[in-house]
Amino acid sequence: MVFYLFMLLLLLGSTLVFYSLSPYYAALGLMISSLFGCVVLTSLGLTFLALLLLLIYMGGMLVVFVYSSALSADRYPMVSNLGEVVLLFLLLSFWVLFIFEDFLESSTLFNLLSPLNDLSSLSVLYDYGGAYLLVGGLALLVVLIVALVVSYGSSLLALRSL
Amino acid sequence: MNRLVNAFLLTSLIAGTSLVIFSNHWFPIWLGLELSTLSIIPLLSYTSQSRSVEATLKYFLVQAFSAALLLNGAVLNLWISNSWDVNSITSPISYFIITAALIIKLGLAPCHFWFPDVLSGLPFLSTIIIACWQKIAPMFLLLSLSNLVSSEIIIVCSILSVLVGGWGGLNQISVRKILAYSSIGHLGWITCVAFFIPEVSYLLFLFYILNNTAILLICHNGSLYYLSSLSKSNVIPITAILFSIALLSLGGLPPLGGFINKVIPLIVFSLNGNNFIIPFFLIGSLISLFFYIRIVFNTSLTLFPQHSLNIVSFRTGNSSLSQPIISTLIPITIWGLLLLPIFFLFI
Repeated sequence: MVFYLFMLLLLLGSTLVFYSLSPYYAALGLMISSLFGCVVLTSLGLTFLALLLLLIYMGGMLVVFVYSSALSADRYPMVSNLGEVVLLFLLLSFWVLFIFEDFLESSTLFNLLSPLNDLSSLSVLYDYGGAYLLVGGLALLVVLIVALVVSYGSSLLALRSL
Repeated sequence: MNRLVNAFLLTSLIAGTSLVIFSNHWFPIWLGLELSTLSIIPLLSYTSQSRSVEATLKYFLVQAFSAALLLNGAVLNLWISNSWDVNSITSPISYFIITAALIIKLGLAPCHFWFPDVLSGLPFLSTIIIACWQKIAPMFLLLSLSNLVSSEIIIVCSILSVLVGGWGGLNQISVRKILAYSSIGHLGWITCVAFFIPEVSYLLFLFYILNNTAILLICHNGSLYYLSSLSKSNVIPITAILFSIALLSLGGLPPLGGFINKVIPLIVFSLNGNNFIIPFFLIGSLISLFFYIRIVFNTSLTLFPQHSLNIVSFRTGNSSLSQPIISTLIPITIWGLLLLPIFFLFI
């Protein structure tokens, strides 16, 4: 039951991301959804993935996102529409609950007794799945070059300073 | 843009599409689709004009959304069938989600709304990448899924695409929008055979790519961005004639190669006894034939009021790097009907 509460809070974070008026509240929603995503992963026994998500998502991506939204967003942001966000979230969650009602009565597994589920499959990523790491690295290199070209392409696209 | 960066991005675009085609596992397929989407963003927006940047942004949003939807369907399939294998689509819900994602990616109706918008903001070389190369990967996935599960959603979407492609292109003056709607209609003709024989769809898709690339290269050569510039452009005169023939071939007139795209689906439908849907396809392609003939009319069959010095032009026209490519692709559109017996290996 608590498990579903965590997933609902994850949904609240996502709703906050896409429905809020100012990007600062969207970043708050990202923070909430990543935090509760980590909690969901931990309750399934995948502690390493949760820590990885927290470090990379909050420690890396969100810092860059908040910085870039501070550069590009309005100087005096509008006050948020938090009531509408919560209402939308409640509507979405009730809609889903009414569709999947009989599914939710089944029991969920809490695998806290075997905490190495993710480590045993992570090792496969480095062993048989080495090609995935190489291709993933190539994709990240392409993303880096794309980001640099898009933001540095010409003098017309210089980042403005506040 | 820097040549090295250009070469790197083109290489990763080809790598992304190859990754989609050669994989058995859903994860590299998603990775390849995202890689190809990301690597063409600078290729589309290198001119820094606001139209190109807006079109790039729209394209990226649509493709990223549909790739996420595809991954969602693949993970749902993993949950239900315990397999990441592409050949093991067991449940209808995961098949539907994956097919919906591929329909958005291809620009089939009813998810076609982004396609004319994006194409009309881009210069012609970028249009070739979006309309021809980027359709290879999702079309390949759609056809390989059709090998496993035959679902009527493909026929519904292809009928809608042909009708939308016909009616949407009627009131357009921008050549890029006309070609976008023609592309939507052609994809409708190509995917409808997938319900019956997906192998034939691969060949029809190849025909469509060759035909479309030739026409887009000719438009790029002559900078034919609007219907008003059709009579004023400065191309090699033989290219003007071949442009008209290639457009009529795209419309599906019989002695030309594009007729294959129309006659093979009709043969497949009638051999399977599915005569009911044939009138929808014929109506859609008849309407699109009208605007192809309008382009041909404005290019070759009318003479706009101009100085008599312009009528006799001693310049031989723009001959650029794309001229040899055009010259190799056009004969396929003219004599392509001779390749008709190949299809009877499959039917």
